Amino acid sequence: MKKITPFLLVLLGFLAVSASAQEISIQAQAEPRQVNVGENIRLQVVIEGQVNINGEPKMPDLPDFQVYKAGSATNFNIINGRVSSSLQFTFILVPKHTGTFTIGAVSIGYNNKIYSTAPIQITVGGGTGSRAAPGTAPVSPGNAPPVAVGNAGGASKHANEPVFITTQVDRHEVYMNEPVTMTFRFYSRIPILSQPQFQPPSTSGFWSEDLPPQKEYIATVQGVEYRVIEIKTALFPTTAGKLTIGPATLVVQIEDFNRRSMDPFADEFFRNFFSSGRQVALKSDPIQVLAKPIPEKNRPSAFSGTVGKWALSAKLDRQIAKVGEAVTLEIRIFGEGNVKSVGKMDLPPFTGFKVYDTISSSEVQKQEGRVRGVKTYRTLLRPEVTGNLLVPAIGYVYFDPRSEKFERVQVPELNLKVLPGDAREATVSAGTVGAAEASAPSVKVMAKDIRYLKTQVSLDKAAKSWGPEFWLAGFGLPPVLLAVIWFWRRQQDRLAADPVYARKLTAEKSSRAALRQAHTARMHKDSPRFYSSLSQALMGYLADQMGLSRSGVTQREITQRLAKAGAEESKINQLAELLDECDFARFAPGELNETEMESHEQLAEGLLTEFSRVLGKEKKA
Amino acid sequence: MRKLIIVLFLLAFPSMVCGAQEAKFEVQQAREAYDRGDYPAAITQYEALLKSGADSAALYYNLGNAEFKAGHYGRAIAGFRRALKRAPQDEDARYNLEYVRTLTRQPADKKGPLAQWLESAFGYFSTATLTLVALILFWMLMGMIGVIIITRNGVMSLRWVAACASLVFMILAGWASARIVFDRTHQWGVIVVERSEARNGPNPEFQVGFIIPEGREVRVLGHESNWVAVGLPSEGYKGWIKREDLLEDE
Repeated sequence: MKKITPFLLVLLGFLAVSASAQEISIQAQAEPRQVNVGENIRLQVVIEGQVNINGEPKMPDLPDFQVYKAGSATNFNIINGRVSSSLQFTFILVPKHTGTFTIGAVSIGYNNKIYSTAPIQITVGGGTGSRAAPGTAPVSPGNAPPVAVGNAGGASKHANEPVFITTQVDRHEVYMNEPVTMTFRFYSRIPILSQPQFQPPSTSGFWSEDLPPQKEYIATVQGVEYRVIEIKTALFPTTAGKLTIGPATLVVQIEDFNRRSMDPFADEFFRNFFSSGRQVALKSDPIQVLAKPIPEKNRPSAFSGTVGKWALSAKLDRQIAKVGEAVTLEIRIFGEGNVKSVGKMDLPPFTGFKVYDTISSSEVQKQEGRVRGVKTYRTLLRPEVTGNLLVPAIGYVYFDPRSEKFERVQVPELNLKVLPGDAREATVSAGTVGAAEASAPSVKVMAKDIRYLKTQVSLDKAAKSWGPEFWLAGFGLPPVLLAVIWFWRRQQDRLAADPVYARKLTAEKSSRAALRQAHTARMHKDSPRFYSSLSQALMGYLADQMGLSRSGVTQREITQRLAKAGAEESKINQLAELLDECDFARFAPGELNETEMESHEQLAEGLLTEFSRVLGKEKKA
Repeated sequence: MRKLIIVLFLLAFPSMVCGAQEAKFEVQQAREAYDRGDYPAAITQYEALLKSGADSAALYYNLGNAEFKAGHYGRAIAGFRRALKRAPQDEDARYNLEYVRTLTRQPADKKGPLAQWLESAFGYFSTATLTLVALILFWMLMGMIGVIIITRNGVMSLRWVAACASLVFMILAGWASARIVFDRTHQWGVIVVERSEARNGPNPEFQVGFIIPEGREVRVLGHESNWVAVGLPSEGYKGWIKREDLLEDE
């Protein structure tokens, strides 16, 4: 629920506050101070103090004026336990004669003291008139003829009700975007005890604009005097067809006037300020409005939907410019109607200018209950050639609902004298938007498309197509190689650290070398060398395999170890015989027997093979 | 043995040279067809090159261009996606892909700037590039370790280099592995027919749940005979479409 403006409360609430022993002040203000006979003077008396103020001011004798009470208001605050209040009383004075008059002191008694205002001088001229303060209609006194408003808009059917509301429109049939003035009135003839809760009517299908100021006045409805609050709103139908303005609602807390005095200035009223009263929900009737579509007949193609009464103006921000300098063309559409219906400005083609984007701004103005507006378009122009350039005539089409015709407003051509200049020195006029764009030439996009083909096309097979074998080998081979290196290094280290192991490992190799030497000696018929090599091959091999010293090893030691290793006895005997033969042949060489040498060589090879097998088996065991 | 290798190379070289020249000629022919507006011919040429085993980002990019010009927006998107998979930093492919996406009104990416940056960084290198670099680094690392073993203790600086190389390798290997896993679990495809009917099951008897327009990129969720389960992450829809309606990323 929307809260109605505090001003409504101010006008209608009469609050009573209790007295306390604090100082107060009283001030009076009259406007205008120069009037004609019959015109209104608004006299406002304000009593303020950090106390609870009770009572009403005492008016001086004013025989030269008719005096009307125009209402009062109270503001009452308790902040941190501290009370402050202000009472405001409004009177309307209507001078009866010409001359200079003095409004005497307005006074109030408080705490056994009298507080007074300064006198105010009023000059009354000889003319006649009925001026009222802005936004305030003449207010009638309780016993004077009231202003003849309030009976319209269905007010008469509520006659004698203590409070009621009405909604009315000035027209029930309009064109789209033509304004309808909706008037909401709140009538009250009793005090309101709380801030009223106002729900404005739903205006679906309309664009609405409030029309301030809110008015307050006193009116009579079938002989009963009411205080009236009036709010006006302009409604612009945005669609054609039958539109409905919904009901407005207002919830108020009112004094139970059956038990209270009807005089708001009576003391009793103030004493009962904190009484609860009763709540009343008020509702106005819905209203139908027919929004007619804009006629199709004779509709110009340039018409963009603007309705009202509009005028057009255009100007350049300078008369002389250099080539490349930015010049601002300002076009204004102003008039009465819904400025939001003023559309895009279609500019004619410009010759000799580079035209940049147009920006627009709009402003809504409300005057005398009417909605007016101004829409301003600013376009940046950059002259490209020297000479007298013409900005072509610019026109705008709107629909005038009063004449029911399409109207065209137009401004004549504008002249610009363009002097030679350096484009790089281009300046931008102040207040223009898009200056950054104007100061540097921008890329103009003509059409968008994908980018062209790649001219360098690789036809290699991508890494993707190498397959899993490649990646398996790639990542699998290095660890294998590393393992080989590691084993090799380990072997080298072992060979270096363990000579016995090294001899074992090289035994066969060295024995084979010795056998080859023996074979060579046999070929050269060198018997001692043959047997020496043969003995070296056999003894060296067996000593290395058994981990014995080559130089210190004996035949007996070897045969024993072979027997222990499980070698056949016959083979051991053959070895012993062969070694004996070798020793004999080395140290007592006799006649060369080639056949015997060959058989000895073969026997040695056979024994080496056999013992290698036996010793290998022992090692495994 | 060495002589045999030389002989084999000399025998193979002329055929290799001829093959490369023939392929280059086909690329030129495809470009000429594209330039004269014969886009179907260009498409045929590019597809033939791809079938012959050539596999490059540029070929897929050019195929995407030809498909776009022929009005096959879905196939064009697939071409640009494949080009970007091979060369994620290719600006032209990214521009063209975004352009076609605009035309086909792909839904806007709802990811935040940080998520987008992370995704972009994650996919900055192709999986193949990452794996290849990781492989080279692996060989270098193994070589360094081998030198350290051979020279028993090696030198301190080499140990430091090896330690750094190990760290870089682990990062790269992790990155590449994550990419491979991501690529396998986040399969995408593009609708290549004018409208693809997504059904509630892998059978024409199932009701059509929604229609997917050409060019829409969809998540591939599974396969069932001639049907593919697809998902539209931005809408939260899932459905089954015919396999021929979709061109999947490899």
